[in-house]
Amino acid sequence: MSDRFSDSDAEREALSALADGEAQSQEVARACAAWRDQPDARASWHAYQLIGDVMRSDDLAQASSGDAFLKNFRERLAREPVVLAPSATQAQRPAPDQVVALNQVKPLKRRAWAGPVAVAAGFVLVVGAMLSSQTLPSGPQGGDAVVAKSGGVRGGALSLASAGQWSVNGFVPDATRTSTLSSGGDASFEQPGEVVVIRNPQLDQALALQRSNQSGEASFAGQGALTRQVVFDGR
Amino acid sequence: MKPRDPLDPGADESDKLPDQLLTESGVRLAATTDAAEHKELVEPIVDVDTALVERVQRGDQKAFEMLVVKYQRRIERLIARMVRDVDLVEDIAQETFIRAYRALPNFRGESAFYTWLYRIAVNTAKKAMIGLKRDPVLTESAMASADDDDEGGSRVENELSDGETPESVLASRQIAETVNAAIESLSEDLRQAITLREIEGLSYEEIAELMSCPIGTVRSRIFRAREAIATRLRPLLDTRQGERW
Repeated sequence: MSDRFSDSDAEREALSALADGEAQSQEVARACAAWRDQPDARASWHAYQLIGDVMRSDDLAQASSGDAFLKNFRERLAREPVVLAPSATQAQRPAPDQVVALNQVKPLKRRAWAGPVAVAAGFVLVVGAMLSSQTLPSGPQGGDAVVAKSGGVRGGALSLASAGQWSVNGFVPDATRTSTLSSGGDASFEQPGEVVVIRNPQLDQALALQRSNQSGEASFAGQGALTRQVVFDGR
Repeated sequence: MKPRDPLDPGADESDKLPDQLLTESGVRLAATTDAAEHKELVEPIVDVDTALVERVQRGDQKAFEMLVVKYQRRIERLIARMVRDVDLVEDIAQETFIRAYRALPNFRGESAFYTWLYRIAVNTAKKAMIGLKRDPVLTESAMASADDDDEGGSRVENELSDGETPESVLASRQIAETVNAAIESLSEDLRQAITLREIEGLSYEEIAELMSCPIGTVRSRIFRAREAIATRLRPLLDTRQGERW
């Protein structure tokens, strides 16, 4: 049965049904694809339309130069700057099944504990920021890095302390029990429970250089003002 | 009702539903026992023009060519009634379809596509007439006569219009005679099916009821009738099949 009715015949039958407005939904795409790809399908579509026109009126038999007409039309269409594309409203309009899916999306649940936790977290953050802003400038040893090693912090957990006031879990290293690495690097780990303060010797050089340059800041400011003035005058 | 194969020639004729899905050519359009799927497959499209217009609006430019081929002759005849200059008819018809293509994204389907296209053709022809300094009053009357003649009448036997040659009139007459002769040579079933469809404008369902046969059979008969006529028509269409399109 399939031998005497090929796929080409099936496509032409779909075209015939499409010409009558009786094609099934999926056959429209198939017929359009056949029109696009197959010259036989295009000739058949033209012949079917011509037959119908001639059967209804002999007048319509005269305009049979459909091929030349279509060729000229294609050339003119190719020169058209108009780009047909789905309109924005159509492109953004969701399909019916998508609308159903969107309607089924549940709003986010409001958790009762989220508010207080957020307030507490914010409070902790603000307090931490205030503490850091108060302690950092006041420390006389602002550039010192302190690595605390203590028996209170087990398992080798280290605390990075600045100006001797940073602590972790409330542990504050005792100044009397700290030992400092000198610039020579001789460290002494006397007791396993003591705090060892490691001081980078390059920090002393950097601090000394900064102090020596304090007088130079005014001259830099003066140059900056001069530069701004020059730029302003240049306008 | 026991399920059965609709392709089985010995199947019970009283079971009409699967038969309607089977064309005489043996193509199984839909063979399923699932009612929902069956409904989706056999549901015909409402309007071929609407389906093609929607495809064009989605960017399928080639679908518009199918509309051009479908309506080219009617638009050319309408314009020929107004302009009466064959050399201009094709140009105005081309311009009509180009304008329709430009305006198609704004076509909302509130009227039939041909009604919308008809208005564009009339306006395009009027503008062309104004550009050529022709009398637009004559075009209005010509347009009215074109509407009146839409259902019948032959201009082939009338006087030649400007630019129309005896050869073109002869070719048109040959096409009409070939189509009529091919219809006469069809079997009774095929001739009745194609006539009820093309001249009476009945739907497949109405034809199936009149001819007491399944819709799939009607579809197949109309297709075979068209193929038989097209086979006799193709030598007159100037070029060999496969080259012209």
